[in-house]
Amino acid sequence: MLLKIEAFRGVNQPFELKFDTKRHLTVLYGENGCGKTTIADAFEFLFKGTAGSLEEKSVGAGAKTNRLVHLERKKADLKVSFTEQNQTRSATLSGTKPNLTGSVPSRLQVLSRKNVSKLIDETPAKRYERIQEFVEVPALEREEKALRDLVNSEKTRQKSQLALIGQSEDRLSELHQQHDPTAAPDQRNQWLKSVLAESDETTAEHLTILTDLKQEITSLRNDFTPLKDSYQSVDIAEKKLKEEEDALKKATLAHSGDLANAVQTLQQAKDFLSKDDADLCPVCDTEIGHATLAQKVDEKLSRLSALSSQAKKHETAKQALTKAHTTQETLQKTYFGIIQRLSVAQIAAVETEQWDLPELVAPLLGLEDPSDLSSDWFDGLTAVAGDLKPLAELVEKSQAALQLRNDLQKQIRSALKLVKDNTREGKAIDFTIQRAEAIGAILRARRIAYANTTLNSIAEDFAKLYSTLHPQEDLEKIRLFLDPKQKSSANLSGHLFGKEDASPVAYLSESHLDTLALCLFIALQKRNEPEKTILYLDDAIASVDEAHMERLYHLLLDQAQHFRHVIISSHYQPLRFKFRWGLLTNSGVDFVELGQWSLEKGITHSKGPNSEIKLLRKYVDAADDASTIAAKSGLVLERILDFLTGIYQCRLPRNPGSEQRWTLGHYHSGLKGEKKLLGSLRCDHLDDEGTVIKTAELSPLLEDIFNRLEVRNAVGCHFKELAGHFDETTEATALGNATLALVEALCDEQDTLPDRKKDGCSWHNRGNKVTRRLYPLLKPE
Amino acid sequence: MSLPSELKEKLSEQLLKEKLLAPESIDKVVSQLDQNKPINWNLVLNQQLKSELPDIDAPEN
Repeated sequence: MLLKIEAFRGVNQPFELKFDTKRHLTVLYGENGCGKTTIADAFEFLFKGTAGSLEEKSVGAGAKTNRLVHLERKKADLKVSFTEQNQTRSATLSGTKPNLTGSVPSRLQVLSRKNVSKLIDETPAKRYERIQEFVEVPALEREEKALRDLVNSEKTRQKSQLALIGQSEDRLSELHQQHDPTAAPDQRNQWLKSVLAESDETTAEHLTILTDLKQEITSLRNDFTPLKDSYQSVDIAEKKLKEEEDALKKATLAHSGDLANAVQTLQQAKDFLSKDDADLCPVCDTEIGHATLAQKVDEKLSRLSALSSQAKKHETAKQALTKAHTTQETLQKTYFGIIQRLSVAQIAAVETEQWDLPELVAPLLGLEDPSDLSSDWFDGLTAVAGDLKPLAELVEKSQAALQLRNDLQKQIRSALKLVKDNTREGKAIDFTIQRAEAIGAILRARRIAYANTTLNSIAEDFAKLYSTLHPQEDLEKIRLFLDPKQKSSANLSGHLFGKEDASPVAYLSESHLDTLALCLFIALQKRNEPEKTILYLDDAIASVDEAHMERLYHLLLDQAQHFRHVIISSHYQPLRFKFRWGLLTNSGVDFVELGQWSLEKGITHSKGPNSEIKLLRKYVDAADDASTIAAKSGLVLERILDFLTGIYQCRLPRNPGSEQRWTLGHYHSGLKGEKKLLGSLRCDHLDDEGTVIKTAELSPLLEDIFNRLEVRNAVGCHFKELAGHFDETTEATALGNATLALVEALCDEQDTLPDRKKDGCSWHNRGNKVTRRLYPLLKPE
Repeated sequence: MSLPSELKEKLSEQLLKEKLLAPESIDKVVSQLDQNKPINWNLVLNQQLKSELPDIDAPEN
């Protein structure tokens, strides 16, 4: 896993932090201002797109993400990336929004110093917000809401459906009152039964029968006159034809000679026209003129025309009679049809036995053919037509009554159907409401039970973690539970100092609460895919005192195995001291130390004493910068004295002070009380064959340094109260030389300290060839 | 996010015990919850209604 940061907050030059994936815990040590929180912020920016520690701070106008850019760099320069298992996630700034690309298998959880206590001492509602992701089951909550919504909508539907039933019942009572005003209301249902005794199909059938009967009676009446008229028309046509026949006979007799005469005249006209002498009579050769002939022809034609006209009249009368017969036949057929249908309808009506129908009149019975409807028959019908009136009236009255009954039945059936349908629907709604409520209650109960089981499990785990840190302290049965009476509320209580249900916030110290919160945070994170989780504890262990530090360290080392990786950042020097010099196990732990921060270089890795030693030599050789010589001497001496007090477990103050780091004064005090140790400290220098070529006694060198320590404070740091009381360059150079003398005595050719003890008898330098052996291995008793 | 298996089991168990839904409906409901898919409760409860009270749902003759 490799983190790369550039132009981000305190990081100017590209900074890389490689995490050893074989180890689960990285201790990131750096003094205040070295950039630990910047690294945490870079992680948060990369994984969550937030401004990290700036999120809860007031940073002036504008987007907080803009403040993530290094003071001397441009927004476009900012880049953070994290590579894990050949996958890279990168973050840049686009405008004011983070531009996040790629993904890695791990996720990140950060616990900062500022937020540690919040986990414990916040209100139950806020606390719930912090733990909700571990206990909430969104799918169940969503479906609980869906079921509540369903119940509400069904109840609304139930209301309108009950209203419809009420309206229908009212309508039935109203109909009862309308049709039987004297009846008591409780007789309504009986009345309904009586009205509905006849099925609607039967009523419809009866209605059809009466309608048919009425229609045929009406047709019989309506077609009566045309049929009656047809008989008269035939009579008139027959008379007319007789008249015309007589007239034709007379005309024929009167003009029988005229016809032969006319033929003769026409023959004469023909002959006359064929001769040349047009003026001679073709018969007698008497002279005749044209005018005379024409007059004769005209006379003959005139006589023949009267005959022809009569013949035409006769023909017309004949045709009129034929037409009158045809019309009559058609009307007879139609009337015959009406009579037949009327008979059928009457028989059907009689068969229902519903009405006391009078029989049809005699002329309407026993007819076999339309031709039976003769004039005489019609006269017979005309004579008894009045006898059909009672039938017509009864049919009309019965039909009207039946229609009313049919309408009433329809209204009742419609109202009853509404009652029935809505009652049936009501049962379905009741069923749905009851089931939805019951299922919703189960979902809720299971969800809360799951949440409390989860919280119990978390509480159990974090109580266990806490008791590991604070054994034999009377804190038992820590409970984290959801308030059953309040939504989204998580309570914390415990059996403290013999008191039941006591709030830890009220009874525990700040540092105890911090460790309690840290344990809770770890226990919570273990619930959610810890194998994919990188935990970043940013200065979260700062309030832990030295007495509990070792246990906390071991606890974190142990718990780190559950996670993808745990990163602890701290400025707590005793932790570094104990870790670095073997007082705490460094097995499975990656220790990274940050160097001094500067605006130009940004965050750096600590280069260790050897790089500072090189610089010290350079400045001592130049002998012109007292302040730097004193400062560098101080840095080198801090490392060497830290090393010596560490490997010999010298007494140092439990509380190193407000800055939580030991000073040269603390180391001096720690060593000077160890007289036996100081007297026995020596370092053998060996050649390539392992032969001792020199032995350096450390005591005089250390004494010389101790006598010059005030120079470091007076010249090499900002405590310059003593400045001006001595020759700074000379004194600083002397301190530098004394420091380098100790380095020459103790360090190997690469200026590294003999911090290994694999041979079991001395502290020796690293590498394949042992050239330095520091004695004794253990502090003399 | 799928449902924790313990929660799934307890949920199925209780729904089955209370006989609020048919076993196959319970399986379907739990499966949908597990897949974080919304459930059409109208459909689920209507099917249950049909199977338990067929007369209510049957069309009127």
